[in-house]
Amino acid sequence: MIREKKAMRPAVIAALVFLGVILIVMVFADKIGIHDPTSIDLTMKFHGSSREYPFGTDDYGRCVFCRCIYAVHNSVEIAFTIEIVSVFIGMMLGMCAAYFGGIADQLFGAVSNALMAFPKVILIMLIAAFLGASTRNIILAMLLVDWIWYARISRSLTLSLKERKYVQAARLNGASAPVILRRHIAPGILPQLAGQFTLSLGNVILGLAGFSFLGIGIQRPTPELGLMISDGCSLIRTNFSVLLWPGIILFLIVLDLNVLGEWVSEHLRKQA
Amino acid sequence: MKRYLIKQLLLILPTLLIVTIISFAMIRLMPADAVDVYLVTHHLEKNEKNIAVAKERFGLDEPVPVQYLHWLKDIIHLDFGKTYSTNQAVAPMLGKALVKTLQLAAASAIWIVVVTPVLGIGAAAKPEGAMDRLTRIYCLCGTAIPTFVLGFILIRLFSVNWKLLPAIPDGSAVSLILPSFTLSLSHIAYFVQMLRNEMLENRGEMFVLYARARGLHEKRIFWSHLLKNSVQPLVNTMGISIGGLIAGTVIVENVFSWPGLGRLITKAILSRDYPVIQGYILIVAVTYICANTISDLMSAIVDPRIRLGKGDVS
Repeated sequence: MIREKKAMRPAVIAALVFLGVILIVMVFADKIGIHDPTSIDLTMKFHGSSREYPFGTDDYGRCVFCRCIYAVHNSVEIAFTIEIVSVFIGMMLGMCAAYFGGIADQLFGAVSNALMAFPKVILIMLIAAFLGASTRNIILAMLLVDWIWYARISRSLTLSLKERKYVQAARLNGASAPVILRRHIAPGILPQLAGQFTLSLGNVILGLAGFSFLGIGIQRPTPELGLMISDGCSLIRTNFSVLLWPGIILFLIVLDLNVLGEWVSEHLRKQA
Repeated sequence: MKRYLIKQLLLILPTLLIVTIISFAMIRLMPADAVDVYLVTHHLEKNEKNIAVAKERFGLDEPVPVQYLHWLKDIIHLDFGKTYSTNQAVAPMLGKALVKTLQLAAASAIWIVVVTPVLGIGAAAKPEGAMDRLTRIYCLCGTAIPTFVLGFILIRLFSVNWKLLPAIPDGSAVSLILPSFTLSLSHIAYFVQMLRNEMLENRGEMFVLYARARGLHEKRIFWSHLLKNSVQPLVNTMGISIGGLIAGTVIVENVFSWPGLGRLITKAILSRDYPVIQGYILIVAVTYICANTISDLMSAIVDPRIRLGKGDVS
């Protein structure tokens, strides 16, 4: 409301273009990254930037550019999966809590308040600690914490939607609760979750990289931006570019999704 | 005010109780329990007799509620047990690390308190001015840059290239500068954005119009009417962001080899050292609850509507 249209526009256009680049990377990862991201060749150690190795090579002679490409592919894929599942779980639980009310709603309130009472990062870390450090477990841990926002938004939207005339008409026609939720309430909620989805996608990618950096996320030798930075940190004095590139790429992706998320949320707010 | 204070302090107790129950339950549910570790570290065969001896030693033969009470008694006496990996007492280890983390958090808080008003007020004073535009770019980038990337870039610039600041803690206050700045950058971005938006929004409020109608000077309106009313929500958020600061220390401490709680917990998680993890949960929970209570009290001081329980305070 305060941020005027004009200043936002170029940033949004740039963000959309960058989103296109990410999508291209997602689809053609194996065509763009011509070198195997995990093959080790010590004779190729610390090559400078060249046509064949745009970002040079790391201490194991692996192409940094290709590793970044595959890492982005992996991270975006995992984050997207986490978000889709979160939206699904969150919507189901949120809608049911609001629609049926009573004990279901109270239980939902208690669980979501308990989960939100603790810093998110620490919660995920503790769940990961409980389950053990592995790629599957970090995904599970992030899922367990991530659905809550979608559930809360869905719940509050359902509360107002279920009083609408068309929903009441459906109920009078004898439609069952699952049908009403699926056909009349869910379509009203889904677009409203778009803003949160975009912002959350960036946060999940950032979180995933952070946990991998700490060693409790994705495990070696899978190429991952956080892991690449963690591996590169001993080279900070000699070959800084090995850890700078993945850092820059991570930053750009998160920045991109933040800008788009803000833009989408603002759009939705204006509509309302 | 006194009544409100007592009510808030009483509310802490049940929350604390729940936290202790959860962390007690957690350690009981862990895949590797104390008996296994005891048998392995004492090179004992895993037969029924040895298990019974170990159970008696740890008091595991008693009913669970009794075990919980015993454990609670230990916790109240600050006895967190011994680490699995090195068999050291956990409490002094956590205590030392907590002091280090608090130093880091306090230094970050100083950055936040000093920089936020400068940027926020500067941006709000002249919307669409150069300062405002720069601040907005900073806010966008500040919330997007990963702390570990920022940390390494700062180490490279200030410690390797320019040799101005130490990258690794050497006990001096100077070595706090880089880690605390890294930790506070995203928080500052968040607060600046909030202060700016709050001030611009309040600009159209009735109290500003009224002040103007009374013929007050614009400067006076800005500083004592607009600013005062815009700071309130920030005070409230400050408490919540302490949780974020504690979470943020985990990564920053690993980047800068800062010997605080964050590094301790990372190591403990990787080596599955459950007594340390349990102690960490308790410390973080207590800090978090205290921070929230303090921020509640602060907002009650700033905003009389809260302590009287009147009006819409959302």
